[in-house]
Amino acid sequence: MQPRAVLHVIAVLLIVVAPAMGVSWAVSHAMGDTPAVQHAFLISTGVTAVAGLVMFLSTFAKVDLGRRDGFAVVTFGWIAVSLFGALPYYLTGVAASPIDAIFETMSGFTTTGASVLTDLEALPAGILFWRCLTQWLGGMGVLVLCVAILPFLGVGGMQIYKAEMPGPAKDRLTPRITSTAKLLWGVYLALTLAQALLLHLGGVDWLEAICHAFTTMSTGGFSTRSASVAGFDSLYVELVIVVFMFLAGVNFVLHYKALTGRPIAYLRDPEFRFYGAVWLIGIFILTMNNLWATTFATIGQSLRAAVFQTTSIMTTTGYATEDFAKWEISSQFVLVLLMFLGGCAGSTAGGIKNVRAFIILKEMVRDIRRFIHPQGVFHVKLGKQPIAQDVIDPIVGFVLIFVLLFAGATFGMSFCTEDIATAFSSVVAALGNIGPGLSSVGPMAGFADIAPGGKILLTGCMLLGRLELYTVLVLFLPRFWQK
Amino acid sequence: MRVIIIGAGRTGGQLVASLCTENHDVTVVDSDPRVLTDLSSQYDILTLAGSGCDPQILEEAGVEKCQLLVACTQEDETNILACACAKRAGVERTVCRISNVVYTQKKEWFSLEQLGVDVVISQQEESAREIYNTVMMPGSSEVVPMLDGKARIVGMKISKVSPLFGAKLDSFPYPDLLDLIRFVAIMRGGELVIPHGDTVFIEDDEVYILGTPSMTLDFIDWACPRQQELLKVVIAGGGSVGLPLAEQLEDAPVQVVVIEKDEKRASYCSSMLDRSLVLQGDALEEATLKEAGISEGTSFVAVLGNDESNILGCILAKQNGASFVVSQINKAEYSPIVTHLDMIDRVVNPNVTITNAILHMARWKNIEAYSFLQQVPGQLIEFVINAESKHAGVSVRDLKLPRRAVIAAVKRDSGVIIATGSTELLVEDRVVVFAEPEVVKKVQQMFA
Repeated sequence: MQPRAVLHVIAVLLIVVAPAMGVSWAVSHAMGDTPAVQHAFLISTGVTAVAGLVMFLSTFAKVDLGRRDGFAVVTFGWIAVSLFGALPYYLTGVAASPIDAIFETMSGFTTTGASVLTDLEALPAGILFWRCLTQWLGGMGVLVLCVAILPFLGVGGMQIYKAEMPGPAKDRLTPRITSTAKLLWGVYLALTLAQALLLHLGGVDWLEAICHAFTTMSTGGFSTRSASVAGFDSLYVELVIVVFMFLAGVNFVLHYKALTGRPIAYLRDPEFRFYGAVWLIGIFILTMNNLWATTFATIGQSLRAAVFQTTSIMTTTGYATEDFAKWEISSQFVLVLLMFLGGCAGSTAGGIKNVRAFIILKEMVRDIRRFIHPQGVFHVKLGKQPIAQDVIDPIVGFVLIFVLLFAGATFGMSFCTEDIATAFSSVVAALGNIGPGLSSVGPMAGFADIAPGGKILLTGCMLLGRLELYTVLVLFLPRFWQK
Repeated sequence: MRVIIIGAGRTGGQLVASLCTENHDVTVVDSDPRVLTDLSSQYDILTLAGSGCDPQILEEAGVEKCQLLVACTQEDETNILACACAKRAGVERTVCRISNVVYTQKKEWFSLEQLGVDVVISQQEESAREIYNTVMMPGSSEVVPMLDGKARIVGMKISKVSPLFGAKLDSFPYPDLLDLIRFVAIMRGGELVIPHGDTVFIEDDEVYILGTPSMTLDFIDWACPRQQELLKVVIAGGGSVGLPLAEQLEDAPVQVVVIEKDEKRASYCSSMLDRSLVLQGDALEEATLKEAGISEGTSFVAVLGNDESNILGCILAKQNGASFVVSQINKAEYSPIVTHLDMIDRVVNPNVTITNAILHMARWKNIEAYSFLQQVPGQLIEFVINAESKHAGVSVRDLKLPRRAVIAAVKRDSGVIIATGSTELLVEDRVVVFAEPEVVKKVQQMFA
């Protein structure tokens, strides 16, 4: 690893994040927050920008990132932005402790959406905007943004792109990674603007419309209201959000193809078909189950709640319109399964990802078929395309590590919580970047009461989940640090 | 007619044999002088040693004055280039053998036609199609498409249980059927019999009928009742014939099992096929056949690399209970021997198949197409009746055709008419004539 080069790129990252804080100050100023809050934003912006510039100048050199540097840049870069991004929370005093502030920032950048803040309506506008902006930046990947807007990263861009973009196989839209990153960010921006406009047309004021567009397209789930989306109490708003959550959970390469005149690409994509099928099945089960358990009186209510919650959980957004922690245990279990599954590769959603689950399922069927035909030759196929064994193996490994980390972290959390449901669901919610869990971390509760140790553990889980395990875990190999 | 053949392999050789019996001027180009020496010692042909896409060689071969060029080397690229050169030099018709299907795709800016290839023939695809027909119509011994696929000739063996057994054409139980199906030829104990009104069908007759594809299928099902419903097809060898065959069979309502010895090839087959079971193993081992699950209702197709393995594989499969076994045989010498083996139900020779396909498309003057039947001496010739023909407006009865030739069918507009004595020939009709070898020349002159 080349520490100089890594620090250099992280410096660039801070220089990109500083103006984002500046924008939050502008919002704070425009919305008439108290001078103390505005000062806090100015100080945070200044500190981040100065730190970035000093690091940038002191490490000035030709950047040529290697494979290992890419992992280090992404992991440490995310930790750095979470530390600096926590400044506004800490300086304004909305977070009770530095740990809370870091938890909130990490939850933002990783698009988890778990919050230690309770009374959102009482918070300054600048803080609410900053929360949502961190999610939006983290959704498509703040480093991919750097790759997109800073072409001098050139060669190393591929390493960063690989380490930060979710999914087992990285689609390239163009031969050059910089232009691919630009196109993806372009699609992301376009969809965000479209959603903000639609929400505004539905009577939501501009600040809330933009904030919700930020956190929907990034599948983050931070809201400007304590009651989350339920606070709007509007079918129109819920429908707009459901549609855009669903889109945010789809591979953005497909959106790009659709926007450039090939909408058939959605239906041709095996992962999209799987994602759509699971989504429909999830809605069906929840609707029927809730109706049968008389959680809701009419099929209309049951369907509305099921559609919203299935989409919100499956895309790992984490908005709430209902307190599903009070639903039937069987319904809660379906939601937990969807938390593990997550969205599609190449989307802003978290979780294991549909394509991995799909391939693992097919791999299992293949193993069973091998029992019947020991001489048989079977291929795991995605559509008509056979999947090579060296693609399948890391996927199996990924799911195993995901489950092991889940078990280990749940054990850790069991020391910090009262009941097992809280322990395991908080870990799934953090690892899968969902946000709300069950029981005392349910959609209508928060993470404020969790012990500091638990918060640190969950912060780590969020980072691991967002960077899809391997990027972070390679740093724990002694070999990584050897020359 | 002047013909240039590029490539003197098995296909080229078979083609030379067929063309020489018809007294065409044949020039053969091949890069291996020894093969050429062998060929020229057997046949009256001109041979040139060199590359088929060398313009100098093509000029020496007389490409500018030649009517037909057939490129059938092992290399697709050589074949395509040879055709492209020849077309530009003025050859009327170019026939190109292709084994890699990627070249057969069509784009706005790419097609073999644009490059100068008139007819594309894939040996593997042709073989696969022939075996497919054989497996799906086990009652048939041979299926040859005619008249652009609108009709076909199907051969079948008459057994004692067949409703045709003992029937006489004059007093045929279903006279209406004779308007839809034409009995073209009968092979009886190695002798060719042209059926007439007083012909009686006896056991072991190999009867050839002509009709539309659906009609022939129904007729075969009636005339040769299947003893066992086809449930599964086991293909030994996932090579260049086995794989396309499996792909075609996947669309039919049968289980498909492919046995391939080579690990990489088996893996490739499995990746290309959708619902077939691919087994990696030796088709000549009983254990593998057991795993493939050969039983009643199973057809077994041997398309392994060599003839001996194919024959052994078929015998083994039959002993293990396969209902119907088909063997591919490359060496022409083996065909008659294997035909007499009771164990093997059907033999398919890829060289004959492709020669048939090539000759079928090798038309000139008013002859539209030629076909050969594997077991029957004689030819099927498709003629066009053009405006100045003296046969236009004449009925078949008054045609004064040699006795050893029959007019089998007429394609008019897009329909097929089964010819009878009273059928009148019209301008632009396409006529299928079956002629015995001795009268082929006479028939050709008649319609020329």
